[in-house]
Amino acid sequence: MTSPEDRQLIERCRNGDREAFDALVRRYERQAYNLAYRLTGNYDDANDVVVEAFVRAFQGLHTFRGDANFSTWLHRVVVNTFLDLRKRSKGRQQMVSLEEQMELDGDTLTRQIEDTAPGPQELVEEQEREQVLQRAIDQLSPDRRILIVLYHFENLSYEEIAQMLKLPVGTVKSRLNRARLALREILEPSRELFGR
Amino acid sequence: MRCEQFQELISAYIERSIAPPLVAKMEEHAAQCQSCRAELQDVQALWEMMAQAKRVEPPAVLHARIMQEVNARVPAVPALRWWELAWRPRFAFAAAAVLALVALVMWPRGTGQPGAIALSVVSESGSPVTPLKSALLPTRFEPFRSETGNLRWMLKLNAGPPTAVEVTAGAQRVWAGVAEANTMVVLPAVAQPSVLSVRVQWEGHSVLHAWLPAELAQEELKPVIVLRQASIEQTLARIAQAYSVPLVLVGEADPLTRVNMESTGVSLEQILRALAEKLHLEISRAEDGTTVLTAR
Repeated sequence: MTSPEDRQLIERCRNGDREAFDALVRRYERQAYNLAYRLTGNYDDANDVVVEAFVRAFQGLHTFRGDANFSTWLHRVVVNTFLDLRKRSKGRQQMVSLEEQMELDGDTLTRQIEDTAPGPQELVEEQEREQVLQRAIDQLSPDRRILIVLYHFENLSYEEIAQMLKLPVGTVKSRLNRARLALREILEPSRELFGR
Repeated sequence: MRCEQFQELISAYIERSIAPPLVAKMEEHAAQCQSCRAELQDVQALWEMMAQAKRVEPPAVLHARIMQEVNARVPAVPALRWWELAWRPRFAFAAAAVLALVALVMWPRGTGQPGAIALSVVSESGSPVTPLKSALLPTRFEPFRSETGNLRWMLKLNAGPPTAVEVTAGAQRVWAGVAEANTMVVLPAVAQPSVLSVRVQWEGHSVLHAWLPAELAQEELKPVIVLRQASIEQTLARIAQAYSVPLVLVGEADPLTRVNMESTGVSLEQILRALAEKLHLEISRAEDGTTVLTAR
């Protein structure tokens, strides 16, 4: 539920009050940045997504229903912005997904990806472990990545995700299950990460 | 249980959201199938690992970049738009009070821009029009006291193509005509209507609606002040005259500052506070009750 303070700020923003928007940005930029970072996998792209998302949020605040949760609404704006910017930058950027398949002479081959994961001895540091995890998330398809990030990093419930992505709750659960299995498979070469 | 079925249920098992008989079957399968057992343990560990993942800190410049981009790409809209309140019944009375609005806009001499803010436009369906549309067709609708002391209404279209306008008070048509940019229409006296509405034919198809709660008519109107490019001294003199109060300015006010002001029905306190904030003045009261403004 949106807090009374947020509601007040949003109301003022809708009247074009930029100071109120400034305050709203301060409240949510960290959260939006974390979401964008997990989705894009790097700091530069996360910056771009967050800036664009807040511009869109300011322009689209009139579509936000006061009874909904502002944080969830903003999550959706960030996710949509991420997808749009990704679409736009396709072709410019080389984005390789381990899950992508490529067609060759009628046969489907799994794309060969060089294993750039650090060796086990380097994985002792927490920071490195985080990097490996993030790199694995980057290799998921965008749809799966969004589900994993929203549930495991943003702590949204199945119901909130279902509402946001306009999917039945059951579909969200089953897709998330598959996304976790896919993530586990990507991390398979770095099994030490699992602490076993 | 087959491995595929086991995999489908892994998350539900970890979350303990499946029925006990199914839990037993899964555990039975895991005990027999080394591959599925490893997969379950991995997903469990992965789950925990993600829960422990650290939050990242945004760069210090991010905030400034966001606001810079917002300011560059989103055109400014009027700061006060009371019509958004006016169409909600519970705010009807509040809207009447808010209509007593003040627009204080200041800019350096010679770079003037209109400071109009009162826009009484909601769409036919009752929802507010988008800022874009209202920015294309700013309409001011303000009450004022005529020379004979009666309450009258002034309608002004600040921009936009020639526009058909019709003003009604209940079923009675008060005024109809075509208003061009910067047209000011002083409406004929209206006999205590419950609601005044303004219909604006816009681009041949859009009909916008403005509602004016009649409660305002019963409110005692405070003075109307309209100033253009006035110096600080002139502004204070005008306020003092309009509210019949002594105002004293202490210190040297910036001689180049020019004030544009449109104030309708606000209290002296409100007007002084707004002015003091914009002009960096301090308000105090002398022993004899005179209000003193000190230039900082």
